[in-house]
Amino acid sequence: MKIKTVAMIALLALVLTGCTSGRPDAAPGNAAAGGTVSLTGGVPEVVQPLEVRQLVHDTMKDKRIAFIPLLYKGYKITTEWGVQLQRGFESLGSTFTVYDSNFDTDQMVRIIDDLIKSKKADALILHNPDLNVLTQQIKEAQAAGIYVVVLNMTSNQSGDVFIGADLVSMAEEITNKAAVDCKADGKNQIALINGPATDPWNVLYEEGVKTAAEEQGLEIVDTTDSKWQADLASQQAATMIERHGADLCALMVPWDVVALPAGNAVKTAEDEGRVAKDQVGVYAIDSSSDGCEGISDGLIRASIAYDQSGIGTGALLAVQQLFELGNAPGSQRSVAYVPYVVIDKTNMSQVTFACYFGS
Amino acid sequence: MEAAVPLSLAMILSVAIVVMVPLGINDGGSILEEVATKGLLAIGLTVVLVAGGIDLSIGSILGVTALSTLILDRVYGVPMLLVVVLAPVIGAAFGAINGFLIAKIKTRPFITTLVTLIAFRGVAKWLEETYSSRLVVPSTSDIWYFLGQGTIVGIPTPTALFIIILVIAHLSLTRSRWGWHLTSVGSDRRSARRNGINVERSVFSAYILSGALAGFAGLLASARFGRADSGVGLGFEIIVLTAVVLGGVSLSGGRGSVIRAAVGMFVVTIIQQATIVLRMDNGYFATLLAIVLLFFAVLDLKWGTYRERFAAKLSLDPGMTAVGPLIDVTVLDTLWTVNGRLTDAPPIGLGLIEGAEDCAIDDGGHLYCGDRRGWIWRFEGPDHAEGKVFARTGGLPLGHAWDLNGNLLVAVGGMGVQRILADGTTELVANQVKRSRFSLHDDSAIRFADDLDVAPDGSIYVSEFSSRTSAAEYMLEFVECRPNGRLIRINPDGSTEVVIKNYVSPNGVCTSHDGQSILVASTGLFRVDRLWISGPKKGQLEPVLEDLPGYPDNMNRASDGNYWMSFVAMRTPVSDLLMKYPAMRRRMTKELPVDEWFVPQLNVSCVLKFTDSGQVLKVLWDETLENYPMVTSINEHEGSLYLSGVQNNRLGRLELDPEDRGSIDTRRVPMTQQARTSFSEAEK
Repeated sequence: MKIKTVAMIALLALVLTGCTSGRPDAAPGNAAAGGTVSLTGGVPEVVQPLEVRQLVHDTMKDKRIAFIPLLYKGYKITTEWGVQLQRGFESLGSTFTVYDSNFDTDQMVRIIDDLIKSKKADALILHNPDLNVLTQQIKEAQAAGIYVVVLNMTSNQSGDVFIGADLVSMAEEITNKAAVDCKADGKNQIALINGPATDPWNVLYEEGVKTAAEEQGLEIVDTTDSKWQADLASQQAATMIERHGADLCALMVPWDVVALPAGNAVKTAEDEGRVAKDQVGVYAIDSSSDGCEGISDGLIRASIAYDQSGIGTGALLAVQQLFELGNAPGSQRSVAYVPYVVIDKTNMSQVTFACYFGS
Repeated sequence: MEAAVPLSLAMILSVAIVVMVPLGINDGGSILEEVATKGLLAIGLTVVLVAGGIDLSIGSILGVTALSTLILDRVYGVPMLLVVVLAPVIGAAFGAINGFLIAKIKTRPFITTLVTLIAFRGVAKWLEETYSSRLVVPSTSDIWYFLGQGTIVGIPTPTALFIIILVIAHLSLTRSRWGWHLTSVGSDRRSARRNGINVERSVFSAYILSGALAGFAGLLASARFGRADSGVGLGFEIIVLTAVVLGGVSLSGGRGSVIRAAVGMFVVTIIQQATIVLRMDNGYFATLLAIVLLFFAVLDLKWGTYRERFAAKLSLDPGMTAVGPLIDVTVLDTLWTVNGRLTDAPPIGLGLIEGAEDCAIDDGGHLYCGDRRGWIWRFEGPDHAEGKVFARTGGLPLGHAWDLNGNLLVAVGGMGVQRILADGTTELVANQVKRSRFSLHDDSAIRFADDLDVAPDGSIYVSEFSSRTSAAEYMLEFVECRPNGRLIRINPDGSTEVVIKNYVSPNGVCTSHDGQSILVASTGLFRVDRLWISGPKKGQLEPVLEDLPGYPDNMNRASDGNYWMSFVAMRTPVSDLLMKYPAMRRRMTKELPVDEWFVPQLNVSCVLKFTDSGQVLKVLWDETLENYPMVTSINEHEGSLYLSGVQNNRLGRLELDPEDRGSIDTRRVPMTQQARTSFSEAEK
């Protein structure tokens, strides 16, 4: 009995001492991963142009860059980034691979886990679906000596670089635009067709719209989660018109891909006489060539074009810079925003980065 | 054993994947993490499947609990330790809804859990809409980290917890009353109920457990990902279902092991990891999974139908036996020459009895004998003209003997050893022995008790013809001829012990006249051995008779200090030849129906008398084979020989030659002063 008790205590002690919380302490990797030749510390102050070209190529050669978007094939926004990245990295001799998680968060986590654990990448370019979900992966990647660049959708855990849109400002601006139109019509009710609640895009957009709506005296009468799905957005738009009909003047939809079906639902309602013509406008964010078509067809009244191609190029530059400077992953963090502009029928053809093709 | 085929196919599949796909040691970590979460669901689903149900709602329960734990922690600030406890409780509450509907209201498990799959997901969506925006703050508790990324003795926490739960679940399912009840309910609900098992409670507990495990898995998923949307666990049910079916858990209930389910989970996760490493679209994984599930579900169905036949073929492994010289009984004027001395023995119970293997006579001269319908007959002495069913054993009554108190002991095939009291009631003496260690085959039950006798100290020696086959499958033993049998001693205190193991078809058992040894007949090797139970050679086995011309059956003491023995079959040159060719015998069992198998000549009736030293004194036959085509036991009593036969429709009573008559009471246990039998006391 006594022996058993002692043995149990010993075992328990062993188990307890063997426990770790796994909380990564601030233990940064001591060096950048990768290539044999590196520009650690950046480009020399005085250097021949040919020499510096060679140095950059040597640094970037055989670097493995992995891009893990929420979804890829058939989505102009991510292909626009991917195409820029591909062109850039391939010209530098790096390997660029797209891993399509196909709108499946679990799948995305598994892909990233696999890339980190099998050391299949020197830099990760992430497109984050949820504020918390990639926390661990970002930390682990940096601890494993992999740079992390996050595109457009921010995370609670910072990567080395974030490049994307300043969504709060964009949301305020498009709401101001909607306010102008609403006031002209003598109405003040707007509704949001947003994304999933913990989606970073959703969180920031709602914040911007709320702030501007308050300032402008607009009332947000409804908020739904479209899960970024066209059919849901279309249903939700129809329902909102049904419920708030007479006083509604704007549907705020933060992505043209879901703004288009919402616009179609509005058009159908107008055709069926359930709402007055031009009473409800759809205000979007982003404008691929499809979005622009929607604007010219009157499905979307106004949108904000932001530099998608610039996000791709920016990520390309950020990755190059990370490798050239050679700081340990996670040791410094920076955020960069791309330019944006409000577009509608009148000006969209004059904005360079509006109506992009994703190619 | 039963899941060997699906499980080995699954293992081959995973090895093939590992070989074909560049999966490295680095994928091991990801696979383990994945298995730890979904493996908990697999354990729950296995328990439900074993209980004869199905639980499709596990993925949804996981989703709801995952969200609930985040809400409890981040919105309500519930202490993390409490959240850890609450997670399985929440899961169990949802499981209780399933359990209530299925066990109490008696709805169909498939439809019920399909509905709750959607309903619980709806709850998750409502939670998401209500709370998600408040869940964006990152977690701060160390317990989250510990559950998600920590380690216990170097093993990642989720994996360590999973292993602990797996072991507990395995032990509970295989070694506890609860587990046995669950398995019985899943195998056959109706007979479970008739055996007094609370079916409702068993089924209900299975769903509760499944829910609780899903709840705990939800906690682990939250700790690992911190995903705060309602899509956590979406589609897990099909992944887990595939895994458990791959692991050989039967969809039709009653058969399955959580360990094997965990192996199946590994296989599925390896497939999943392979699709990720190969950068395949996740649609491929879903399709692959569907194909695998379909294949293994069909296998489960077919395997379930043909399993026993297949297992019988697989487990039948004829042995090669070197056969000694064969005495030709057809040569005239030898000791062994066929004769007609049994032919005219007057019958007892003609037309009443069906296959009495052995018989016994009490003090009052009343005759008791078995019947293959499970009965024990009693024929009134002294003429045995009238008989009635005296007792019912429920199995196949074989050897008979009197114990020290004068009660009748019967070796009952399928039941063990029973004692029959004077009022005709039966009581169990023993039906199990300690299971042999390191044996895959569970040999703890006494399945095929054949003959028995009592030693002077009151212990009972029982031969078990085979610990692998039942009495109904004795033909398999003839064909296989391997040391599957054993001699078991039942001590006076009821404990049991195997005294000779690995013995080829032990059959007749007889205590020697001096009470020092036990004679055991090996039917398959046509020999008789002696086991010393006291004296200087105690514990040793030595031969008494070898190379007999027939296959020995029961043995009993004769009144003149010798022994009577009968042959159940005779050797022939062809049967001897077959003994040397096991492959031929195996082929025979595969290609021919049982009644066309070539086995020794069963329809004979040969009885012999031999001495303690192994000398055969005389041989009696019924050469016509009309009255006593098979004699399986000879009992001598007061100048008469009683002939029993397991395939005869009568007993025979033969007047003894005067030279055979001796003074020993054959029914008395040697070296004891047996009092009057309780049977004769009951008569008064």
